[in-house]
Amino acid sequence: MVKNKRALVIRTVLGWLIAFIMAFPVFWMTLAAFKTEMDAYASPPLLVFTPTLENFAEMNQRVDYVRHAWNSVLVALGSTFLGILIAAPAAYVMAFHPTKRTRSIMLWMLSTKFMPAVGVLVPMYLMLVWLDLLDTRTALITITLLSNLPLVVWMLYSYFKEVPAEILEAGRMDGAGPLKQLRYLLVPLATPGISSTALLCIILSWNESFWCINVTAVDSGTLALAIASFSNPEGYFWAKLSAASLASVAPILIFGWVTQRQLVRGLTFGAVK
Amino acid sequence: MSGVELKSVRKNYGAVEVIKGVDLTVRDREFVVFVGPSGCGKSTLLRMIAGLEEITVGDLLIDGARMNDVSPDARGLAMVFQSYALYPHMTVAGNMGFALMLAGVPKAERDLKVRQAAKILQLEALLDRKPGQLSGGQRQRVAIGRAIVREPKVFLFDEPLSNLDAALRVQMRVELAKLHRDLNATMIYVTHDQVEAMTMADRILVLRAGIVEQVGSPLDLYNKPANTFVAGFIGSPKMNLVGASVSRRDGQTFAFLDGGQRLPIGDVSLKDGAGITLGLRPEALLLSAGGAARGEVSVIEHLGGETLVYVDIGKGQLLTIKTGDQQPARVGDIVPISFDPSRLHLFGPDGQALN
Repeated sequence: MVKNKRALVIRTVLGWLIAFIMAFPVFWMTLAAFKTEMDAYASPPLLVFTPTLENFAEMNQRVDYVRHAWNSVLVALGSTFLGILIAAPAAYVMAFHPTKRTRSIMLWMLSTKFMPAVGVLVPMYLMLVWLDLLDTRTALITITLLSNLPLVVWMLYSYFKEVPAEILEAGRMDGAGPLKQLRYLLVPLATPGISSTALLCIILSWNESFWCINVTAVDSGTLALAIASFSNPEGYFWAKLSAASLASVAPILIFGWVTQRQLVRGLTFGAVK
Repeated sequence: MSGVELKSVRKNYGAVEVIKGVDLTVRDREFVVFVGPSGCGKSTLLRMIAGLEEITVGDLLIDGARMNDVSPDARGLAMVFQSYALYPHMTVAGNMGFALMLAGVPKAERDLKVRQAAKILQLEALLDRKPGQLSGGQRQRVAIGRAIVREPKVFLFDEPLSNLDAALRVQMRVELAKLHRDLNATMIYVTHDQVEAMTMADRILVLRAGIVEQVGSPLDLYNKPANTFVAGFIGSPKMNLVGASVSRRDGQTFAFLDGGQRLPIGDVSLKDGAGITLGLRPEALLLSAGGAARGEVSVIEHLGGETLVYVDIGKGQLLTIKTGDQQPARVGDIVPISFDPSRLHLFGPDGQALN
């Protein structure tokens, strides 16, 4: 009994410690966002200080927060919606009508994620120049969509696999073609999985920064670009950078917190069915 | 008229042939059962009729029209699956009306048909429930209801009772037989359970490794099995199959059992020494004096209404004898065995029936 209690204490302390280490940067960033630049640079670091909102005011003067936030929302929702629209039929075919090449196609799709994005930066950039799509939301949505697509197909594939094939066969006997099977049977049955895929996709798109920084500017930049603009050749502005980061992380953090039940349910959909 | 005709139907998966040429005519309103051990191709054959599997070679005709390339829903069939395959997110009514909804049948008419089918199957009180809230037997009924609502030309059943417990299976078997009579429908039913086949079928098709071993009425198969496989598969307890060789002496033909005993048999057109198999149903054997053979009782099973006696006739060869007597013998007794010669089945060296 005593031994169990000690193990429990050790486990609890360890758990809190790990949680603290993981949350510390966010915590520190939150503190810094409310400090003056001077306080933010103070050594040793200040834990007690007079909070200020001036960083947020200055940030809003320098970058158009609302516009960037709106771009983030559009890119995240747009790429997620289109991604699922494209991936669902693909995952359906792979799960229920596989050929002998299905396995290798899936691995090939995943392998596109092995390549660092910077490896295709120049060709992508040139293509966007030719297509006259630089600094457009269309470009960013397309790129984000394509880079998330392998993951979306894989996730939907594994959720669809959980649905017994006989249910779809019964649907076929009842007169449901592939699209009706998707609409009336597969999508309703895999809703938890589809939602968690969508949530993950939204989070990934929201946090995507590489392409955003490289192919967008004033018009279509997301919040990632807004943050990046605070580390510039003139120097780092910790407090303002933190304020910008906090302002861009906050929406997705709240979103993730609100949807975490759904997220966990979906990610463990097969395991605990 | 709702007949189904299979003409030299074959099915290949790559280089593997699983259905090796099946010819069959299922007549209007007939109840045909496909039976065979697992992996014999019976479910594949049913799925080919349903349109869920392609037919590699041969023709499928329903009401005289070739159906090979017609989509499953347009063949006028309804199928009941082994796992029921109900739509878990829809109510019972939703499950039963799904096909009609897809076909664009107006809601009022749909509801009427669902209610009619629910009445036949006593599901009226359950129409608003989801499949997860039903017992196994109720789910089975919903699956059948889903088929009835479509008013198909032919019902297909793929081992529909194998997920039910023994008592419920017997009850559903009776209900299905009654349903067949009430609906006057053509039904094709797949099972590995020969009791289901015997009790429900008008005709049984026995399948082994993709080949039809015999087609006939249950009693035809029981009384005149075409070969040792059908003889062993149909009937419970199994028919006794004993290896022997032909021997003629003084103008009489005998079978020398592998166990060393000698039995007189009718004349057969086989040479002396040819290997044959004797087939005797457990109920055709008697424990009575003056018997043609003897053996030692090794096990007795009391089932109450009947008793199964296992008799060793030498070299470990056990004969099963079924008797109505509750105490026919004791384990270890040496007993005489006799049989009615008219109930003796003889199979040639190739396993095919001789008489």
